[in-house]
Amino acid sequence: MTPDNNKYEAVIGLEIHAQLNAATKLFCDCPNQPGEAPNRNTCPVCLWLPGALPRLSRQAVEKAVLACLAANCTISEESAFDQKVYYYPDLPKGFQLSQHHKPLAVNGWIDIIGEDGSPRRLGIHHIHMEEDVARLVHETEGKTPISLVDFNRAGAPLIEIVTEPDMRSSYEAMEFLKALRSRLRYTGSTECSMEQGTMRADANISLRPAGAKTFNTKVEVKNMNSIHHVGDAIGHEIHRQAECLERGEPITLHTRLWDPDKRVTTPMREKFAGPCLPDPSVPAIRMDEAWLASIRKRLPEMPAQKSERFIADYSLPAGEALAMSQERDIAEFFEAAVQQAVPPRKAANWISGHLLPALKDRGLGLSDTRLTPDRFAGLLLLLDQEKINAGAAREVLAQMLDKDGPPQQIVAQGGFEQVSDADKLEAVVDAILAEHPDDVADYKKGNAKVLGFLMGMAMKASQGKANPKLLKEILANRLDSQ
Amino acid sequence: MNSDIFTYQPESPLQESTDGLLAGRQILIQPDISVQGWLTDAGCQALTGYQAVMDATTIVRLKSAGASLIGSTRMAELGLGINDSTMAEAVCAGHGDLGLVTDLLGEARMTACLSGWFGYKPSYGLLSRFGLVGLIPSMECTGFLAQSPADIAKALSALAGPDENDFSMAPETPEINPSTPPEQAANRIGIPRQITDHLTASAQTAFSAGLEHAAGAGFEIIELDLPGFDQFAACHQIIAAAEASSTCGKYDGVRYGFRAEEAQNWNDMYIQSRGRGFGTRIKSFLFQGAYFQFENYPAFENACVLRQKLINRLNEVFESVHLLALPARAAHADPCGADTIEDTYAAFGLTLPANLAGLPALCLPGIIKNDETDLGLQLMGPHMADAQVLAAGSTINAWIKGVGSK
Repeated sequence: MTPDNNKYEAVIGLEIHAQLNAATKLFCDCPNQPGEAPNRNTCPVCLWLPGALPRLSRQAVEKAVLACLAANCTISEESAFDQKVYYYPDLPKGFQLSQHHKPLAVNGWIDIIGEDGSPRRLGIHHIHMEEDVARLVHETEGKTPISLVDFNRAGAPLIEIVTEPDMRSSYEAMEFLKALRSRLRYTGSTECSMEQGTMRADANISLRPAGAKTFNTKVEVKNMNSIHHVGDAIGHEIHRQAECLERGEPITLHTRLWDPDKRVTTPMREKFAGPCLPDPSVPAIRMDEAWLASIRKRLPEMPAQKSERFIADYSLPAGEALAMSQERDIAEFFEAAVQQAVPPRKAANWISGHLLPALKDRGLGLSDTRLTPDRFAGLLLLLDQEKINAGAAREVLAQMLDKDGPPQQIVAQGGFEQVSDADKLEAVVDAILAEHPDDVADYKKGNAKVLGFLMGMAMKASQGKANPKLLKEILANRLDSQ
Repeated sequence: MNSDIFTYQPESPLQESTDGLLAGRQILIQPDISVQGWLTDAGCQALTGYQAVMDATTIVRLKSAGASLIGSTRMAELGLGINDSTMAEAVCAGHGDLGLVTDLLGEARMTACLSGWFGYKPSYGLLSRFGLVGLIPSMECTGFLAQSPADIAKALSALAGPDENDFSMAPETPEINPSTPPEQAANRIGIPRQITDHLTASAQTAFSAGLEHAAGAGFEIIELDLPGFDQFAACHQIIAAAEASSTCGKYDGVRYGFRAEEAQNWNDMYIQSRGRGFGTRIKSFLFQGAYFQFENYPAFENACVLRQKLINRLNEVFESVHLLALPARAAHADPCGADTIEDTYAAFGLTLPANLAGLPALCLPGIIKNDETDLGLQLMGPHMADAQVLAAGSTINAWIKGVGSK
């Protein structure tokens, strides 16, 4: 039984956790580096030894505010932490400090392009701060199963973004996540990588008859570790609920886990609703105008504006402008290169076509390499001035990612200079023609394809350094005059 | 190193400096204030064997003021009430010059009634809570037990003031000058009519007689209304129980303290460790708190609103008088034998308003005697008017001494 896709409308809301990249944890000075040796980054506060008191990190608050501004939220004049009470070994004090009653920011939105190509504005109900919990490791092998707790992550600063139930398809949910991720990354407050666990997204999904205005019982789906999984899980859940409705089964409020291998969701625990009490030890955050203004000043131009500006200022086609504006480091790298008089489209093409694939192959980010915009621009200028050819430029670019040095030096050391000396190239061409008399004869008979073959042989003989334009010219002349 | 009086005594007193405001003073503490390496179990089974890994801010400041730490005395479980407390016994036996008694309901002031020393609860936010094991974070405060209001002022000035480790403190705190009490400007003392309901006829007579001393010392005694006085206890109890329930969430046996070893899985370990880690009286307090957290949150919210109303009402009263006076205890409720939460709240009904409202309160011993029971004269002042409260206490004490020597 396959339900009619148009009979129901899906109502989707997301709850997104993003780890802030503040230097310390939210309430103590421990390094915010969960990945280190277990329980290395702990102290009396994040272990909640008796007598410990939370000390709210100003940097974490400011990073959270920047993220809220990037999501177009209104920052609350007063926000405060509550104790979300539940008992679990990953929670060292029996409650999680989270902002329940007075969140940091409210009423935001993210714009996307809908599936039909028209703009859609998707609302954000609020964004609040909270602390992460410890990591549990259950070792079930061996005689006695044991559970280990790593408190490195306990107390790490998080923001939780709670959307309005505005999304109607898995496509919209995925577009929302992509746009949100891009904007949040721009602020420099968070890395937002679902694959690396610095961003987690849970989806609340319900169905209603197409055209209805009321909301039905929702089901929460968790455990998706990429944006694609979010889309798959939502698509699957919509289908599952539609089948339930067709069979006349009621939808009950519960949580389901996405299994990415089997591509199904399975029911989890009942949804927990513990109390939230104001915490007496963490003072309220009072965001006055001066403080907010000083944070707002650090908010960079957002990707959508950048993309529009790249189209206007640099005449980039829309697709290239989008590619150059998705990530802040790439966008800034692109603009810095353009400032060095590199033609914008050439810079964009080389970034998308060669630099980004080379980085992806190496599993590196731009900041992991010694490549600077100056060096990159220097390389493209050498190419533009025909000091090197495109093949050599690709090789020099690869070397610049792996070692430290300006392009001029790498070109000189590697002997990548383009040979534009006509005498030298003529000698190369003559040698090749002498070696391939049969092909020359073919050409004479009218087989123009042979020209390409001979060109390749000549370029190879020049060790790839020949000025291709000049080489081709000489080759054509020689062939025609023979 | 165990004794009937002490939970912990170092081999030799802990002293880091020989000069400072408290040079040479011998300090008694309770095992709910962290001193690195000392047993800090707060009188609670859940903290069995727990040794503090750092010094509380009060301890750091005591040490740098030249004080000498001689040991910690036994205390009621997690500091709620004074059952099993040996602080009064310790000072009566001649140990120490100054005692630190955490005041959640009025414990420091009640210990004054039992010991004949002065007991003091400072304004909330004047002293750091960093390193205090604690139970009711929005009300508790390190209190003092000393032989004179001047000694308390001296200790307070050494320990008070902002601490970067306690964000809940006031960002700026007033100076407490120990040597020169402020001018005798605070001369109007209010007596809430509503306390009559809490006193027996003989206690009322004793209280009136005690007030004669204050009048003799030059204070104007003014009867006034403090409507809703009866609501302080219920309001305190609802909020305190809920906070205590949260505070005790960390005693789970995972990282320190008592753990039930025979448990089969972590959930069982939690239930058994927490089930056996607390005494009956505290356990019922935590149950009450969990009830307000999980089952009746609106009652907790109402109590928070009421708390602010009661604070506002006290602030209004302090517009017409400088201080309030009331006995520290009612004669008929025994604070030492309060085995239930109900009995505990009944015994501390006259001291807990200062905790709920965060106000400074001094208990002067030996002035209000009902038969052999010292009810204690309690002076309560506006928030952060600690110097005023202590100066008034000094003035009354000096007048009584003068009368006595005549």
